[in-house]
Amino acid sequence: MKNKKFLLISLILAAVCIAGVLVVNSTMRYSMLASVLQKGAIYALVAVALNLLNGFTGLFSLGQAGFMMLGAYTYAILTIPVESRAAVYQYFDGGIIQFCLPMAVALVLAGIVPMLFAWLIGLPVLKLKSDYLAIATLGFAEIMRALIQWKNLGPVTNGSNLLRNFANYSNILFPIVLSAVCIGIIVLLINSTYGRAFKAIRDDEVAAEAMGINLAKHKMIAFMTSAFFAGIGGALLAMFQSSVQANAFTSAMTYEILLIVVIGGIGSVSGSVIGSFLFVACSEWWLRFLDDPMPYLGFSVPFMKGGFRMLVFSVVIMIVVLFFRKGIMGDEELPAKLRKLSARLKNRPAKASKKEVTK
Amino acid sequence: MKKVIAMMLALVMALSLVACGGGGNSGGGSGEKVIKIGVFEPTSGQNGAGGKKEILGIQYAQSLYPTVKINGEEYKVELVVADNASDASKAPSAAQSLVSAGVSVVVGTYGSGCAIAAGDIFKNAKVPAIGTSCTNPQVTLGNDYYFRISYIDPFQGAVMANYAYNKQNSRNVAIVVESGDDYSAGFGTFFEKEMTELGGASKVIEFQKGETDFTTTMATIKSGGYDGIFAPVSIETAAMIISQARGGGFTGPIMAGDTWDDISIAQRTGDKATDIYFSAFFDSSDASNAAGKAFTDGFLKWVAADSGRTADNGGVTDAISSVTPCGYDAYIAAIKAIEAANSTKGEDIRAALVNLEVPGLVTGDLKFDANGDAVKNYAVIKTIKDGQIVYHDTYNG
Amino acid sequence: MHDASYYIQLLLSGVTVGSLYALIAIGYTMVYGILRLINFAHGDIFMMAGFFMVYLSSAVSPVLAVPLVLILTVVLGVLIERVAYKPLRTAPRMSVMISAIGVSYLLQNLATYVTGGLARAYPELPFLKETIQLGEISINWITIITPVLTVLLVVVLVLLINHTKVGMAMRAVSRDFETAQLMGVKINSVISVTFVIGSFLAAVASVLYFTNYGQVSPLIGAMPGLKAFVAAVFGGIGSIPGAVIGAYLIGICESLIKANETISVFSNAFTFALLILVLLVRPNGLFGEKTTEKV
Repeated sequence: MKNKKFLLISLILAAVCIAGVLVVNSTMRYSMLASVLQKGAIYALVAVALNLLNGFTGLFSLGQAGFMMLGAYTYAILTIPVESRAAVYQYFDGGIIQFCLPMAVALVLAGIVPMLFAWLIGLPVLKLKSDYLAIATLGFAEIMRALIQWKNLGPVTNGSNLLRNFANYSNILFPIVLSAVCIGIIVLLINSTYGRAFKAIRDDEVAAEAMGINLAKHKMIAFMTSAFFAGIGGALLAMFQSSVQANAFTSAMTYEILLIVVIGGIGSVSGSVIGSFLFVACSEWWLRFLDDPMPYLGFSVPFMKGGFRMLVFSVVIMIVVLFFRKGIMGDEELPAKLRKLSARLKNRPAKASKKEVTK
Repeated sequence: MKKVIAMMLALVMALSLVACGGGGNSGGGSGEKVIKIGVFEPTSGQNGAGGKKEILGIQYAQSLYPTVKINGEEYKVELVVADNASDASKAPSAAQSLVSAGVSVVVGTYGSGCAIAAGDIFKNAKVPAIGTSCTNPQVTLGNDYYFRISYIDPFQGAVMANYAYNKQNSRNVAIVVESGDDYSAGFGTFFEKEMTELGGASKVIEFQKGETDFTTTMATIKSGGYDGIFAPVSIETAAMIISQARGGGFTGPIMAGDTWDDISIAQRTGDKATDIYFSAFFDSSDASNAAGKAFTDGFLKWVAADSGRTADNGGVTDAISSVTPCGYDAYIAAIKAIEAANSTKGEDIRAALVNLEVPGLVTGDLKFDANGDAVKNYAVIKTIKDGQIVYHDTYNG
Repeated sequence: MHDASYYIQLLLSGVTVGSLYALIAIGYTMVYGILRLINFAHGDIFMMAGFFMVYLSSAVSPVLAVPLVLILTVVLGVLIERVAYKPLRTAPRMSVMISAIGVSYLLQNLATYVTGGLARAYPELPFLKETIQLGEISINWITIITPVLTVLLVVVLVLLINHTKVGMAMRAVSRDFETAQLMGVKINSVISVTFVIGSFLAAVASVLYFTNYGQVSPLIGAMPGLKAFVAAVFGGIGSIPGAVIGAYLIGICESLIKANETISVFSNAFTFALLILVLLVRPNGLFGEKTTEKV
């Protein structure tokens, strides 16, 4: 009975979302809103994938940008039409890959390739303790970046030059729905026995091992799953930008994703999703006016110039990190949070709740 | 099940948040007709200095031509600046912000990487862009909406290789390029190609972004028997390469491309800046260029009138970087195209740009070829002398 | 093809870079030894010291500016500890590390805002940049001074740690945080001293580093910072001589890699590959003490 009600609500919500996105897609395809919706959804997927490691398994990985890069490159390299290869691989005589895969196949491969790399690097690295693991994965991402940019690998990766002209989506619903589906799969994994094992490892490794959880196996599963979805996120990001270059996937990108996870709440999937939309909207859109000395007001604000937006933004992040350590959601999910909120509202005097309603 | 609902709720919340936050920042509203021109330039990052100089050229042009006539009506030109931060990963969102601000045409950018990364966004949104000093052929290739004022790297690479081979007698050149930078890698490749065709030898040496220590590289170049360095790199790296090459005892010529036409390189390297040669779009002392003369006089006065402009010009009021006229010419081309199209719509302006001919611009007569590149066969080679950038040679291809 | 003087030049270049890494690495290794925190902001403190110098030298003469830079950097380092790390002392280690990343992000954005994102020319200190010719090899004074000064500072520091009361307290805290507290060691002042020393050495490194390369830019601290951290891990985290030796090794290896035209681009990648290798073979580094995880 209860389940049915939930199903109904979620279906209605999904329909509302899709309808909203479709409206945006048809009326303002190139607005900031459309851009934020796409990038926010993609970052949400990547942030949830990172949260699976940091928040649910207790593995502090900083290799997310590296896995995204592998996914983006795999996708881009495999879906450039053969006839445009000569133009894209201008300096490498069209490159050595002379075929083009369908979008869906390439997308799956964009997840599998980073996953294989995760397995390879995970074998030695996952034995390390928290902060050593962080620095080792960060280093791994740097190594991969240098490798992709290497001139001698140019026939495959196009070296320093960016890849473009690859297969792309036309409807902005595509990245949003795909991200939602991927996040759904991660949620299912978290709720499975594996997920409970992950949480046990996070809370106490020694105790988890004593209970018969195979540490190496479960850590590896979490690491590879995270890399798989980071790769798909990378491929989506490549499509969103319609070009891809290794230079973009620096450690700064990993830090941004990590900060999204922190803002949303470590260990909360819905927190990461909300955090990512907020982060992207603030940094790319709402706060952009801070970079401008406000000529519309008729006078100029002297301290508002290029870079002020990011300064304000980083101060806000520090405030969250220091004073709202749990982030938006803590480690709870949205329904639980809402239920608490409504319970609190019910207990309040009638006057207060009336105010809430009129609002 | 609950988790699925959680996701949905989260999405709805995020959507509504995003939708509410938009708000409008529509300017004016006083009944005056306004047409917006986007300025897509780096004002921070490693190309920030160059981007600011191009913006100066654009702003100067706007101060001379603040309005356009469309269908007999006077439109005020408003510049909308977006900083792409010299970073190809930030360029798409900066471009996106211009498109959503409703610009009719875009000018910029300095640095090919950002131009290529943003190209498809302009193309898909049907907003034409006029490249200023982005010289990589990939910018306009396969993109009907990107045009370009400057010459392109295959030409520039050939100019510099010919200069190195014939005038400097370099037979074995070390090409120092930044890994991961389209401009650097592309330009280096064209130089290498032409050098091989001429019968000389060359070797590409890559370094990572953010590198500061070139002492080892320079020692290798000195000891490895190279008789010239070709370094198509950013302004920031240029000063370090020059001073560390000379500090390490390398005495051969150091050559580069258009990016080095920036007074700050000369200022930072001091007496180490000897035997430096680079190609440029324009030279302010060229007396045969009447438009250039007028531009030089007017621009320098305009820069000196405001301390902010002087700072953006590298703190000097007697020198013009050759990227500044590129910005100036791009703005002029943009308003000529708007007038020719008689419309504020991007598609119409693009159609007008295809057939546009503007004689007597600062960097020469303007006409675009089938790719959208300006037809150019003239380049200046400059050198640094006593801390000043001076004219050295002309190339007419 | 290359003669002996070439290899000497490579070695010298490696030693100079290694010395600078060493000075930064000490800050990392000491903070990690005591707080078990990778201070991601340390590289950016180094960068900020560079900008302090740029802005101070426009007001006072460069020679006078140097001590001011040292003081300001130390103040900045201690301030960061007070504001960003101290409130999180009881929080999980991950939170503190995230706070460190946040501070690093903040400092970089602050520098970008103030400078407009452009590199600034570093003021020239008299005498340091002069080149002397020794046969085939040309060296500037900074190449000679840097390693000498580094070794000198390290010796002083080791003496300080081994023979003073503060040093003893530091050793006690890094051995066992809680017990030291119970024994009456003033934890907060020990931590402050650690940050004073770390920031001081980073400031010294910044003066030498930026004088050598001539300019400062807002993102310049990240890479030397990470490499210095690798050096600290390589030498065994918490061990000062280990960090110094690790730094020299990385500096020299990097120099040799850059000397090869084909693989020059892997100089950064090599450092990280080395890190992963060390962590696998000898997780406690060359001189690190073996720690056992208590249940």
